[in-house]
Amino acid sequence: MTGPRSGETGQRRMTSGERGRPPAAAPVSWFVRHAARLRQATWIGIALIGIRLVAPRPDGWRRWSDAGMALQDVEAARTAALISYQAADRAWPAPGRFGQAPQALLPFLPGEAAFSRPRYHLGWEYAADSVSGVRLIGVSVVGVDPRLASIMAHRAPAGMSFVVSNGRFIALIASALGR
Amino acid sequence: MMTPEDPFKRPFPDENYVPPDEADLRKQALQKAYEIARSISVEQSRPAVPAAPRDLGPLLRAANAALAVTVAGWLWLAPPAWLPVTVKDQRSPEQRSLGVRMVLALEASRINTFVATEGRLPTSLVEAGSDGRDVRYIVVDARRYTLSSHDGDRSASYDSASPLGTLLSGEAGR
Repeated sequence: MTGPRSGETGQRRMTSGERGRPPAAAPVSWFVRHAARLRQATWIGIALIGIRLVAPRPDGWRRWSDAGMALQDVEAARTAALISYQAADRAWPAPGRFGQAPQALLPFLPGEAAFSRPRYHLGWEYAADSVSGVRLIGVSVVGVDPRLASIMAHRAPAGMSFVVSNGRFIALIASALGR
Repeated sequence: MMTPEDPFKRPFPDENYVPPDEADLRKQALQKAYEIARSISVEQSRPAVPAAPRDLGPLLRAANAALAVTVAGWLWLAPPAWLPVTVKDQRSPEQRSLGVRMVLALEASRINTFVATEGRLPTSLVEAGSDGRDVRYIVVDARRYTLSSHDGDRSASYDSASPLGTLLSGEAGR
């Protein structure tokens, strides 16, 4: 008996190595070759997302939400004050108590706006010096959380003038330097 | 081991019949098997399996990874407005000083309004309507009071004997 010789036929014959392993597979795609890395990247991404969402903790989320709501209240009060100023023969309301909207602003405040919220209060501010003519009109926000003011300053819209001091956020509506 | 059905041991009616040599039969069988094997190409030797449906698992895995990494990068590097961020106090000393003086001016104005309404000084800032936080209020006499406050290393004070304008302009209380 003669052994098989290669080249006797036109077709390629299986070698002994090819017989020992599975048939030659199609080229493996990049996605298959790096499946483990892709899986790792997915879990790392999910972990980073989770850490980022948990990092502010509940008080951070609450403070952030309160700042947004307080800015909406300030904006509503500012709009009401400007309308009231025009409607009231160009007179600003006298300074009021924290948590209470001036009577002159009430007709112009939208229903969802409030000067008193569970975790912060708004105060109408009006300072005028009859001697020098300096006037300062604005709305203050004081929160239970002293860091609320700094968050409000961070989230304040670009067109809003404000001052932050000692946990108080003061949005300026109008000012005059005097004579 | 031979069995009763073994063809080589089976009795034949023809007495002249000579059973083939077992070694020859084995040799012929091997030769035939070899010829068959030689005629089979590599491609033909592959099992005829139906085309498997396209596996979308790797693509989905890659899409998941890309989505997770993109969202994580977005949240960490360019957080949206609804996501809380750590805010550092970046106010300058001048801004702190202005803030303290402005707070004092507003509290003084509130006290003055109370005086104009009630005809007397309030006993506390809370009575005047303020929240009374971080501002020190001292009644000097029936018509005079002082206010003081500080923000970090910046402080200011106000005496009701001086006009409010000096406080806001920074001329007083430095």
